[in-house]
Amino acid sequence: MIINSVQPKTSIIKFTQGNNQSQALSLPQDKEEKKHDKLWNSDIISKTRANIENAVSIPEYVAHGLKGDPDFNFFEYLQVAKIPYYIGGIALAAIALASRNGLNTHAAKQNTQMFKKILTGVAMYYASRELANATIDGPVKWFRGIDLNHPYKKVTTLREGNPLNRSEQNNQISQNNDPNSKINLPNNQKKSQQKVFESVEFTRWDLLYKYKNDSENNPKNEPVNVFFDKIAKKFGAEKYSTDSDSKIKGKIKELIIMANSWKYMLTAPFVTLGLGLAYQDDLYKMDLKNVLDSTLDFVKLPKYARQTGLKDKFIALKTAWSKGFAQPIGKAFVSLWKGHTLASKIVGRSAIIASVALPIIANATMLHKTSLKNNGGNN
Amino acid sequence: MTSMIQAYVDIARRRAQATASQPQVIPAVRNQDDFRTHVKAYKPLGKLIRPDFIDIRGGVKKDINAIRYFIKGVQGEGNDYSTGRINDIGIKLGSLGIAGVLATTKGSPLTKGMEFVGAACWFAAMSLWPKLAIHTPIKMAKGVDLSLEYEPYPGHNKEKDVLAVRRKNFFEDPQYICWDLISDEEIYKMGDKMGIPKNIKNRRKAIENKARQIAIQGNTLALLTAGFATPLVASLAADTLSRKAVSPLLEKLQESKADKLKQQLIGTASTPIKNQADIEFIEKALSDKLTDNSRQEITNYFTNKLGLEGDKKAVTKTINAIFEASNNSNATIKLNDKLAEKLADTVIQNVSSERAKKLSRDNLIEAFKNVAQNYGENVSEATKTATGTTLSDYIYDTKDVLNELSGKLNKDLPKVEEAITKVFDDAKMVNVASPDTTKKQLQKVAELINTYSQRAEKDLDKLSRNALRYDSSSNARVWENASEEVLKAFNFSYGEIKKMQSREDNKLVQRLLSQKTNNLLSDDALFEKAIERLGKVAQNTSTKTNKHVDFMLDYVDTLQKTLNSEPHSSVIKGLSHHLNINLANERKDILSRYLSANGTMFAPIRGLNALKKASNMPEINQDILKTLVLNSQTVDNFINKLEALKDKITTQAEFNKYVDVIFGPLDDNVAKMLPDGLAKEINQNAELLKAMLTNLSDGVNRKFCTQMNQEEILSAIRNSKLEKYLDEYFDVSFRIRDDKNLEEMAYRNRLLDTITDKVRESRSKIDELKTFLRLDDITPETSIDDAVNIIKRELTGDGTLHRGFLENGQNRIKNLLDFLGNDSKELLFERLNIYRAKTIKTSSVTPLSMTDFIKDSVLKVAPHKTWVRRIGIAFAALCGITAIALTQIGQTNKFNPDIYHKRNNN
Repeated sequence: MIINSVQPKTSIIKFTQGNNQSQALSLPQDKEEKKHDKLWNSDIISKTRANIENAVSIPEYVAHGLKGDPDFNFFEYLQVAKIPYYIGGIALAAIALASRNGLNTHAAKQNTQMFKKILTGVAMYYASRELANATIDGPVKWFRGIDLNHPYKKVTTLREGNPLNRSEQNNQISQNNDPNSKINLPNNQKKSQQKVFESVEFTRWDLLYKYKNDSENNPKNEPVNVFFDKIAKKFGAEKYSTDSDSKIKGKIKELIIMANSWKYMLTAPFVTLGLGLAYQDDLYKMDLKNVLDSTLDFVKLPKYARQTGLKDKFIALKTAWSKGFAQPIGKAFVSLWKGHTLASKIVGRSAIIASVALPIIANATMLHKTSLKNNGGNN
Repeated sequence: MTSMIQAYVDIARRRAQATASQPQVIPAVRNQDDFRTHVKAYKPLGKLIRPDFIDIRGGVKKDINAIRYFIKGVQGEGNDYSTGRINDIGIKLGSLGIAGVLATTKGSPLTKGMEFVGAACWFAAMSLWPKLAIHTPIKMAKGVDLSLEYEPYPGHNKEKDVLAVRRKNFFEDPQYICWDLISDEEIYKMGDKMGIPKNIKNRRKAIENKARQIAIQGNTLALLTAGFATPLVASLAADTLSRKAVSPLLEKLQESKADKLKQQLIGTASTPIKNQADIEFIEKALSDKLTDNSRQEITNYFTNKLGLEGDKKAVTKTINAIFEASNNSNATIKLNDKLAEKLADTVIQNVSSERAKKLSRDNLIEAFKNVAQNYGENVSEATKTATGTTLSDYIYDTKDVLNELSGKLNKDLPKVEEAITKVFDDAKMVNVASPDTTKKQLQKVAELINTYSQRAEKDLDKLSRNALRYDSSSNARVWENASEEVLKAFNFSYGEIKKMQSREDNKLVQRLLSQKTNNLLSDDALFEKAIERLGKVAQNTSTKTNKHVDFMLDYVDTLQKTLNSEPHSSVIKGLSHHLNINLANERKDILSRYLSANGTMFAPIRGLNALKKASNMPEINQDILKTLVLNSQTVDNFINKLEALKDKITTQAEFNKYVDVIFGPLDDNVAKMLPDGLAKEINQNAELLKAMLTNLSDGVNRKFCTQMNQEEILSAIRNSKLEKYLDEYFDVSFRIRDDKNLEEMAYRNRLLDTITDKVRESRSKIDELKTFLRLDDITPETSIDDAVNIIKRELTGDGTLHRGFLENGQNRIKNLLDFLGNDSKELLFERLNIYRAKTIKTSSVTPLSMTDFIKDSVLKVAPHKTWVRRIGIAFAALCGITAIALTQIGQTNKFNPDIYHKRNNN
């Protein structure tokens, strides 16, 4: 029986006729349903905007989830899951503060120190996880041209009967596909910002093709494979080929799997390192106020330049940064490395070594494995 | 048949294409109405899993698979599900890493262990909270099990390919729920529970929709509450575990570890340590030419092994004795031509070449020889020549030669002098009577130092580290428990405990304690309950303390025997005596801490006993007694209180009455309420404390700490008369520790002024003072002003007399006070204040008074009580909000209008 192996064949692009005459020659049929989906640029501004839009939608998702909106989907569920992720850390720090009362000044003093450490630890935890991701995302984008966080606008059609679906009352379907517009969506749809390469099984290849006569997404009328052609070069393809897409799709999939696997695993050494640093006393010798003051002072410089002189201000700025910021961090690293017992030495050094070595190994193996040169991809 | 299959395949494919991002769920979503009448559904090939409430095996399996997914993943093999699992294991490993790195930062074994327990609690809370607070009530009320999991059909043998294994939550993605895996029967049962009408069209679909609504609502609620619930539940659970399981366990582990260590250490304590490196060092040092420098080297080598300055001095002294050296040196310099030549060469080498030309080597040699002629062949510090000249004289004279040349040497003079000094140092030879004896003596010194530094400094420290302090970390649980129990025994409420933390109102603790004590005294049942409670906890702590003290005393005794195992030669005796005194001080310290720890713990029992006993003694003023009971444990407190009560307690006999009541034996009734043996223990402790309190400085005390065992101490105390103690007690209070105290005393307390005022009254007073201050400078001819100056100088420590004053300080001050007479009572109490200030630092016997113990307990217990209360309230609030939210689950709302159509039965 083959029934059970039926799969949605999203990756197969069919250049068949659709029912929309104006785009009939170019847009594939199964694109029709996703024709409102739109690729964003992969620059930092677009990504930040996509993140902000998702973040501000969370309360809406919560409201819908709590009421059991039948169109509530897994993406929205994952967005809501960010709430416990961040609340958990804040609540943990707040719990540490709960024994405090104004009467027991000694205990309160100790409590403040502990709270400071826990709060720093929580912040370090979040920062370390982001950093772990960055150590993979950066090289992947740089060497392979694949931005794992490349956002796109996903438009989902609401089911009939959903009170949010206003198509019956207002049937004017707008064709404005501005990714940033909220009000111009068709009334029976909702949108979210997702990532093109998020899923290895449902990678949104369709958004990466350039279609003929798609003046909006392809104003220069570039060839259909233009994205894949560029990427193929980055993957080490030696000669130009017309089917660059089919050649490197497999490699991109491998890259996504490897990148995600490493990112998730790198969490472990990075958070260990982050928390290890957070519990070094040296870190708390930071004088961020002074750093900030002297920086502001330096920024204001032109106004006073004649009186004090550039050199003095620069020296002051340098000292403030090195004494108030760089040195405490450096010392925290050193004391984590040195440890005060054998066990702490082992743990501290392992965390530091792993956090340096594993990203290097990860990127090296990823680049090696996905290179078309190494793996006979050019044959 | 084929066409039917084909029809199914087509429909399935069409649907699959229509919902492009549908995961690999088999079979595809169907609208039953489309098929049911035509084709019988195929048996679904996926698998439904109903996990146990606590599914450790499944969890471990998931984690192992996650590691396998990672291994596949880094090779580029995997899928969304497998990489998602790597995220889970990454977080878990990260938490382990965090626990590891936090456990290795500074902290007690408890806090270290708790890092791991805390991490485990966090994960347990994360998995249990939704199950317990969301899934279970929903399942009970609506029949929908949100914990349900399923495995989609893997397609091929999953044993071979781990990537084919996918275990997902059944309701995870509300858009793709694999309803085929649930039988009609089960669905309808669910529907009945949800209250879906029975006679409606397409009931199964209606139930599925309702279940989806419930799943979405439940999952969202679980997420919203998890952020608060996970840390709250985890910290409450970790706190409970820490108190009820981890600390008792750790305590047992530590105890057995300590027992092992003790056995090991007591086994080694009886053998002196002979260190091969030392023997080699001594051999080498003695084989070379023995100069004064090498003697210094040997001294440094040994003193570096010891930490304390006093010990270092003792060693230096002993080594000097071995080399028969005086304070400076016993070195001898041979005065021959060679030395003169060397000196001349040194001078020439150390001046600039220009100046060197002006100097004649021969003239220099001649000059140095001339100096040497006056001193004979050998010159040393000890052996004086007939003319009374010594080594230092010779060196002085030699350097004088240089001064004569100073015109020629000019700026090079200091440099030359330095070089010359070095020549002399090198030439200084040390006399050793017999190299063999010296070697043996040095080896003995090495042995003593090694044994002492290893055993008494390191091992003993290891043993006693905090073990006897009532607030030490190794005893922390016992004492925290004790603190809670004591507060409970006196029936303090949370509000009172909270208030008592404040430092603003000093008298608050005493006021509340006094009130609570009155309550206990007025009700026999309450009194008995309190004593029983206190007895139980006192038994616990004292058993632990006593066991340790017994061992420590044994250890010190063994060590003392080891150090004195063979008779020492006269030169070594000084050192061995010094080390013995050190050990005696250790012993004193152990006993002091023992008295402090037990004294603190017994104070409430003894105090309640005293108050109860005295309640029918008319001769005792209950208020005074209470003040003393609540505050009197240390000399410090006692004196302080006495000062406040000085108008009420005016005679020695009166004072004794109170001492006897407070430190007297326990009442028989009270003794009966206590565990076996505790009453005796408390009585002994009281006797010892009484002795310490009234007799700190002299007599019994000194012997007490150095030579006697506990039984002997007790008998010594019993034999001495308590009446004497009051007298002694005042004596104690004028223990002078060092010069600075004396000065402070003289200045700060106007003693001096008072004395000089007295002296000016009459000439006879001066004579009186002169005798006991031994002021020989004062003669009958001395004017009064001069005499006053001399006395002032004597008392303020100006000059040498001062030291003499200190040597016999106690008696002198006592005489001085006699001299001052009764009208100086105010002054006397001021002295007591001084004493108090100093005692805190000098006496290690510091049992807490009842009030202080309560205060200490409050500070120890209150923050945690506050914490538990606040976290409890927060948790209760969370549960309440969750419960309210749960009532809304499955209700009709705008998204779920619940419109059903009656089924047409025809």
